[in-house]
Amino acid sequence: MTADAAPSASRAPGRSPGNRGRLIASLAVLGPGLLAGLSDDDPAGITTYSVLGTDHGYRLLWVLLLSTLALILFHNLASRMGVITGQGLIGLIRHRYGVRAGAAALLVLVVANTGTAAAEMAGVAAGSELLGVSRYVAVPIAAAGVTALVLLGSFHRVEHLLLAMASVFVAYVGAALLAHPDWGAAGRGLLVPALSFSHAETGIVAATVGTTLAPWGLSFIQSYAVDKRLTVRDLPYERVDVVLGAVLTGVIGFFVVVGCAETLHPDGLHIQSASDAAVALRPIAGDFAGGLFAVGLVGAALLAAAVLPLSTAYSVCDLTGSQAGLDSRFADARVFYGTNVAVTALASALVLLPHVHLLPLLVATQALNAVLLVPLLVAMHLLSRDPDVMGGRTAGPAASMAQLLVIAGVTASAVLLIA
Amino acid sequence: MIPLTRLIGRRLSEAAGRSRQRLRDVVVDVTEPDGVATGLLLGRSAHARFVPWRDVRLHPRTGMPTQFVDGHPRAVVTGSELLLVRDVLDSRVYDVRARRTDRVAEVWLELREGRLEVAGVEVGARAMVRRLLPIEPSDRASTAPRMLLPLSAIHLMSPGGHRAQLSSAGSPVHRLSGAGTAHLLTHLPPDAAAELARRLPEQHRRRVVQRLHPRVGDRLRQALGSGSPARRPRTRRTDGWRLFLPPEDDHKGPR
Repeated sequence: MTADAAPSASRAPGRSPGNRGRLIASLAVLGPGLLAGLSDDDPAGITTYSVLGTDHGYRLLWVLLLSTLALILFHNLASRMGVITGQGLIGLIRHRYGVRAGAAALLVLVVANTGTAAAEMAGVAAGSELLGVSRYVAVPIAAAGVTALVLLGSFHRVEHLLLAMASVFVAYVGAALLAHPDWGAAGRGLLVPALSFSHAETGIVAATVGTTLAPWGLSFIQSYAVDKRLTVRDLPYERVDVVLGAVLTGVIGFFVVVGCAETLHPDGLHIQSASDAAVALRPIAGDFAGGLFAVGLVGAALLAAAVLPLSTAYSVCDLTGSQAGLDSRFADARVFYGTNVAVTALASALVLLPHVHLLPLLVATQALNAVLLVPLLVAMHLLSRDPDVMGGRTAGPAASMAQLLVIAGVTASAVLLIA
Repeated sequence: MIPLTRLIGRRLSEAAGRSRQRLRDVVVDVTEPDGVATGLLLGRSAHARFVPWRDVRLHPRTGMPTQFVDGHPRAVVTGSELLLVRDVLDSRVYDVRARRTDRVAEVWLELREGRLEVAGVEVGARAMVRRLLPIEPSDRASTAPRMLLPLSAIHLMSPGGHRAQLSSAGSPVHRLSGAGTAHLLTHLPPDAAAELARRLPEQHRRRVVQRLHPRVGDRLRQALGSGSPARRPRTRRTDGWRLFLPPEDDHKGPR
């Protein structure tokens, strides 16, 4: 049957695609949720989870569980809005709330994304130095590699390579298993909430929520679903993709926390970064576990270093209306590819240039992400209930209530952090 | 000419002097190629009041709407009508001559013999930056647009605009050549492309589908609900671009 056929006759009544057809369709849709979710486990995320496990043991694992549920909810909403409206998040904000709202959101997002991309490159530098490779070799190679991938690769090649990169996260599972964790304590920490409201605990709770649910991840998944040209018929499969991506993100975070809680927490050690955790793991869990941790760090940084400039490029084109797409020719999508290259180059330069103090930059970046997250979540909530945007597919009362709960939780964690 | 952003937000008085309402949107009928205002929407969205254009009073010197006679609640626009703020301003459009997508930065209106008509839309960064600058909307009127795209040369990609243009026989989408329609289908999101394909006369649809890149044809069939599972994903750049443009021909733009 072809597209020439009358629509009403396009599908035989009662005919089902079958298990094999459903599986193929599901595999073809996989991508946006997995990439957006897994790239949240970037060096900043791994550092946060490492600190969570090292300083607080298994006690605060429940925060990771709730963050993962919030990630499922809002990544699903973002991909759904992308499929239904055919627009990225920043474009949709401009369309519904005006050019100034769109431009303001984009400005904060671009600055925050560039800072975060610098953090990813810093992760490449730290991880490679743990493996004995100088940052002055590793960072330019990483920058050239991710740029070449986006500039020269087709959509599917980019997607396949990024997904392959994500497989490096298995390293964290291996590192945690080598530490022989106490599964009973981990289960209790995951399911029984406990919080002392001390500054250290509220700080790490806010950081965990913020690193799991990031503004760039939300804008990326929506634009990527548009670029992948998913249709409304793909939405059930896309939901599987989102849930899978978010659950894997949570599982990896879980193993990072467990690895550090079992090895570093009992000795009362304190760490500042994920590379500290890799170094500290070596004498306790063995060289292999420490090495796996470092490999995971480099892989996580590379994945996020590829996704962040992409997310920024999609958002810039969303606002300006310029053509965006991984399969567009350079001549047709100069703004898209130019933004991608510029963000990667600037992030790499910030890491390699001497006399640039990264720490204040990274702290400011996290603050910007936190500032942007709540308004973005509110905008998404309002857009999802707007029939002019979503047509007949507006969010139902249960989904809206869940969104409001997440927004309240994220706002509360930000307030606790400031207080 | 009047920029839409100068009109929106103005307060109009009821002729009887009982109330003042803020101008929320302009209702335009796209049956005529350039689009003619049929009325204004006043007030908040939930209680928006539709005022037919014949009941709007203009300022004698500036030509700006200042008063309205009466209005009545009207929840939705129907058929070939669209709302300029909701469906056109800041939304994505497809330029049928240049065969590319863009985003509308300003809508320019013109008073001709008492009728408010859409002179055209302005796209591009220049117009967007002009709106971002802290200048009074009234001053924007003096900044003449460099180039305007008439409604007859664009296809609106917002849901309301897309449907209004599909419903109107005079819209450019119904005057495109086979190649032109194939290009438009290639640029539209899959579900909107399927909606357009369903509206095409059967013979024209057949010609258009033959012109599509095979992968876009697959995608269209999927969206129409008649497709088999997707082909093996491409892994080589040389297999073609994501947009999978149909072959070029000499007929750019409307037939």
